[in-house]
Amino acid sequence: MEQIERYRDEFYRYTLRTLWDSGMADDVFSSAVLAAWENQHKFTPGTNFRAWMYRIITNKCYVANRHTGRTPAPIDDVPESAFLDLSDDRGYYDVLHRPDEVLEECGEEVHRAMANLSPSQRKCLMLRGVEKFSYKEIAEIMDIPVGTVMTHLSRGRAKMRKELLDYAQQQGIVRNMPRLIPKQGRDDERRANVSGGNAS
Amino acid sequence: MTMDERGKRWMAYMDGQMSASESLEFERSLSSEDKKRLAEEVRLESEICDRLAGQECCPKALWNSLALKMNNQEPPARERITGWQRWVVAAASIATIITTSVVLYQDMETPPQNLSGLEISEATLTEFASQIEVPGTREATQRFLDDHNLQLRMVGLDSPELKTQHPIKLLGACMGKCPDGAVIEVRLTCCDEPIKLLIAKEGTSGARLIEKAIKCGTVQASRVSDGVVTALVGDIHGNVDLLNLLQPRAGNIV
Repeated sequence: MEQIERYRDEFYRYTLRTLWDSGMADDVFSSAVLAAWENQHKFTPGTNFRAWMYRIITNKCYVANRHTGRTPAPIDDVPESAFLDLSDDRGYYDVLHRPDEVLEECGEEVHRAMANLSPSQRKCLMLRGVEKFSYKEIAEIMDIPVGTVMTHLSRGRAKMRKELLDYAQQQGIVRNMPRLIPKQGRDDERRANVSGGNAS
Repeated sequence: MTMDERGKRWMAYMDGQMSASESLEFERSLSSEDKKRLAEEVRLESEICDRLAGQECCPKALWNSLALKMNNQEPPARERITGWQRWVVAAASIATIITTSVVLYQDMETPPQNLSGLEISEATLTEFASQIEVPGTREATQRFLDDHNLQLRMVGLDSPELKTQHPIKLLGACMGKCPDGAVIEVRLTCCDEPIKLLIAKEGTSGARLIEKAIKCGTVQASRVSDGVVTALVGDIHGNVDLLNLLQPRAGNIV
């Protein structure tokens, strides 16, 4: 009980961010806390209590989503490399150069972008970014392979950055300049320069 | 190294999930521009996470009520109901159940018999498997989808997205038993329990039937992509999105 009490705020925030519905979050959080209390004999002393508790909350969130008939958000076609491809967008450099200012101006958009991710992506981002669990621990909490955790993280981060960038460009927070030379053109140009340099 | 692998390595480095030797090797592979970008990405991620962490606390009233329940180790004593009171409570419970059932039934837009073909009604796994028209191989199932002009690409069950500790087996594919619309079924098992994926082209009567099934709660998960509706019926164990088994054809183009 002391341990639950010590981490209660972070457990509550995780439930809230995972479900994105404060009414449902209260119910699921209560149910998870009571389940942990009733099953405390199953917890092995000396092991990671937070991970054990997160596993219970994650399962409760999963069941809650299933019972309310919520379906996972449509899986987009964001490739895992999308995160790297963002550098092709001129405005993204503005985001990278002054993230605190841009995010400040984006305000609640960070939370809206988070809410638009799939439940699995949200869980992975929360467990890694906010709660600082390792990939292995997240895999155990969510009962999925480490590779899948990485995929969710990679896609979730890319999607979140893209949404923030789009919003920042629409609102004029960052510059919305088209690339002067298309990527293919740049590559051709670079190749021509290299071969020209070799010839000389 | 593919772009996806490169993206994953960037993630692992950013998150400090590489061993010392892996980190060193990775750092050597980076250009000075990459290193600068990586440092900026780390800063951006940290700013995002600070905002995601938020400041919300567990509501005091909620915690107090939970603490009270936990402190009362013994369940609260129930008032004993005896004699005629017992019959009144039983009658009231039955009346509540009947009323709720009637209200829920009226809420449904379609009579359930239209959707029964989409449910898993077979009593045994043998019965479930016996209606399959093509064998349980990826190639045969893919051909079946192609024959019905569905622009879907079937990935292997061993793909990383579908990896789970719970064994999933492909049984094959067949036409659904829905008189009102054409629905293709890909049948599988998860831990020897029957599950199936329903597929129909968007805008067809089959797709409308699936939409009704979603509203009625027959379907556990669904997706619309590239003009095709896919839906999962049956319980899948573990946290795996089986809808990833069928990818849009466009995803094939690299």
